[in-house]
Amino acid sequence: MTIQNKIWGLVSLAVLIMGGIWIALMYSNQQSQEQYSSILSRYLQMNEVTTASQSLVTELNEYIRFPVPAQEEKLAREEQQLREIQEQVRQFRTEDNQLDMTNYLLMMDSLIEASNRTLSFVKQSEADAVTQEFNEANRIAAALESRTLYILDQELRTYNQIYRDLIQQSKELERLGLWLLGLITAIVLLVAYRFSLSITKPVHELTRAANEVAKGNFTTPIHSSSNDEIAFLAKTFDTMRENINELFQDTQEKARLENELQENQLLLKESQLKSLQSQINPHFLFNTLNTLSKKAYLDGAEETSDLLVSVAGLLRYSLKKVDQSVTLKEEVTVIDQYIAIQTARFADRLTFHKEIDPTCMQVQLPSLTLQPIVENAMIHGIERLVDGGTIVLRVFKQHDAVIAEVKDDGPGISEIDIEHLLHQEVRQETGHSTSIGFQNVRKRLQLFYGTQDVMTIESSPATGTTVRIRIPLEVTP
Amino acid sequence: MRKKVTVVLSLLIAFFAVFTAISVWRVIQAAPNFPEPVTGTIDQLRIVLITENQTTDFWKQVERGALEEAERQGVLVEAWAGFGTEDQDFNGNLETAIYSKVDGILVQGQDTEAFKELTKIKAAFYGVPIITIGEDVPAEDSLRKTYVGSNQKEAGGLLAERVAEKLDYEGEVIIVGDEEPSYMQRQRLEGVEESLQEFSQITPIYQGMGDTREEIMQATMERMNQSPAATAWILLDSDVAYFVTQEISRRTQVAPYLIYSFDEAPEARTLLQAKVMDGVIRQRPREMGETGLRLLVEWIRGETVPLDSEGYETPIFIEEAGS
Repeated sequence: MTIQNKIWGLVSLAVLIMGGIWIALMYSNQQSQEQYSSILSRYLQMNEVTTASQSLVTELNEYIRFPVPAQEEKLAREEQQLREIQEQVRQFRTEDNQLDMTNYLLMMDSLIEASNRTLSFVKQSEADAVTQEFNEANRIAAALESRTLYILDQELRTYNQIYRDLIQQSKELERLGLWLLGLITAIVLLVAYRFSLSITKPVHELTRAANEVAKGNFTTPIHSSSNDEIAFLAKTFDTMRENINELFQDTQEKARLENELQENQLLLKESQLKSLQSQINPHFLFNTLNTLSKKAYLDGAEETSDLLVSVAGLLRYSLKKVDQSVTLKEEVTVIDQYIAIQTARFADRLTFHKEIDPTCMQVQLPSLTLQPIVENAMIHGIERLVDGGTIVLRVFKQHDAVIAEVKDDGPGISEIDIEHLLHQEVRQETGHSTSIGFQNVRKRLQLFYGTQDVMTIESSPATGTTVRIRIPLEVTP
Repeated sequence: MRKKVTVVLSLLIAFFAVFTAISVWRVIQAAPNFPEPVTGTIDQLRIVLITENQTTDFWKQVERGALEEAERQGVLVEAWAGFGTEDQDFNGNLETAIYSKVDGILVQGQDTEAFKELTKIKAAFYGVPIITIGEDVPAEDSLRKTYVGSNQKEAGGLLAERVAEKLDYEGEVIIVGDEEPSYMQRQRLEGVEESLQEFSQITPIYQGMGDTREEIMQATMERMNQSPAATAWILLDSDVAYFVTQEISRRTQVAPYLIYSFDEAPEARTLLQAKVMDGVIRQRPREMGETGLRLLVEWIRGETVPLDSEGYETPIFIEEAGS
């Protein structure tokens, strides 16, 4: 029920109640008045009897003195008058007074009969009879008069009690009015209270819900416990909340993506910067190396010449764009070149094995990912050891991925360091030939393949260190 | 908070509702009882009982008897002894009753001209049957249908016999009555005299008296002076008993006096109990009322036509002091 309806209802109730009370009052008032006046009319009517009978006798007397038609008419009218009053009084008979009343009414009959007899005797000119009958009429009139008093007295007695009762009833009615006033006040108060609650409660609910949304809680649904205009408002509000929520979620998603993108770009920039540094005078270095290689060959140092070729190749490779993807074959080639250089340096101290599955060679991966790892193995596993060590590069298929494994038998890496390498963002790494850094490689791999699970490290002082790179097969860079 | 307010208000409503309901009930209770109006003619017979004095026990009994019988017969009866604010005269009542065309009148007979005229002429003219009750008037004078009451002559005789017996059949007997005795007194007197006639040694002496206290006491004193030896007094009118006995007791001891009377006057009983009086004729006023009404109704209804003009007797007996 809408608020408007509720208001209409309350007002109608109030109006109805007032109307009802007014009608009841009018009715009871009218009742009272009728009762009083009906009692009064009895007295008045009965008083009329005396007057009418006396005037009848008077007119009769007149007629006796002047028996003219005009007078006879007057007499007849008086008689009629008395008859009418008789009829009125007849209405006043009750169970209590019927004997007295009937006698009373018949006395009036007697009077009229006596009057008529007198009349006829006058017409017959019977003087004695006239006198006698007139006296009779007179006596009856007198008896009527005293009888009227008697009956009035009786009536007064009867109705005295009734008057008292009427007054008592009035008093009780007054009291009833007061109690009724209290009752209606209480009822109207209660109704108004419940009614006002039914308006304010939904408003409060809505306010609370709005507060929740203001605090940032977009998920709690808003509902209203009523069924009116406020409920409509609440529904609209709820729709708004949902929209905001969606918007918010979208924005969050976008921000997250933006963030990823930025990170990626940052990494790229970093790599680019590094590689840019190393692009200073690339041609000079390149040419120099070539020259050296030729010179070495001309000088009969073929090994040196080959070495220099490897270096040149490595350098060329590292000058490539870092964000391009290369095939595994190219990476492995670079490894070969790198190992060639290192072998020259470390000789017997370095032992290098390769186990490559040729079917894996075509997979794509970011450039310069294997080389830093191998280099890492060199630095931490081989260079430190007096007797040197062994590095094994394995490439094999495993389930839905290609695994490139670099194993060295060095002293191993501590747990803390493994943790750092795999999960931390520390960028301080020195001593690498390409200075790209372990984390850089990891990060680039993660970004490239869109998954976190790209690298694992196993290490112990007894078994050495094994770094595995997992290349998922369905990835498109 | 919400609950509290609702509960409080609901309690208030209940409280007021209860008291309102009580008040409504009280208003309905206080409604006056208006007498039920009667329409149409009444088919019940209207009978009026007219007596001199309604306050004495004797006539109250008559009234009661009549009323009870009336209820049994289903007729309307009212006893008039005086109405309005003054004690209207007896004949006025009678006249009013006749003008009111009542169906029948039970009336205590009055030995007056006015009464006789009313009953003989007016009542006859208006066709209202009359039965005398308790006290009679001659039929020729009043045209009353019948009389219901004690046989006055017999009553007088009874008294006289008793007194004579107590006197051992000799001595003076003072018979007290009005200076001009009413018909009833004459009847009683007749009974007394007839009875005493048998006893030659007894001398009946009639003493007439007035109505007022002075007159009664005066006459008593005179009689006592004139007949000092007379100790037997028969009072035909019980109304004088009180003053007569008072006067006697002023002069001398009442105890040796034989005072007999009738029981209409209320003092008769007390005097009897005080043993101031020696005996009264006990009548049956209630039976008078009953029988009187019954006969009247029967006559009106045409069941008993005609009524015995002699009258219908109700039983009597002598109640003596100390019995």
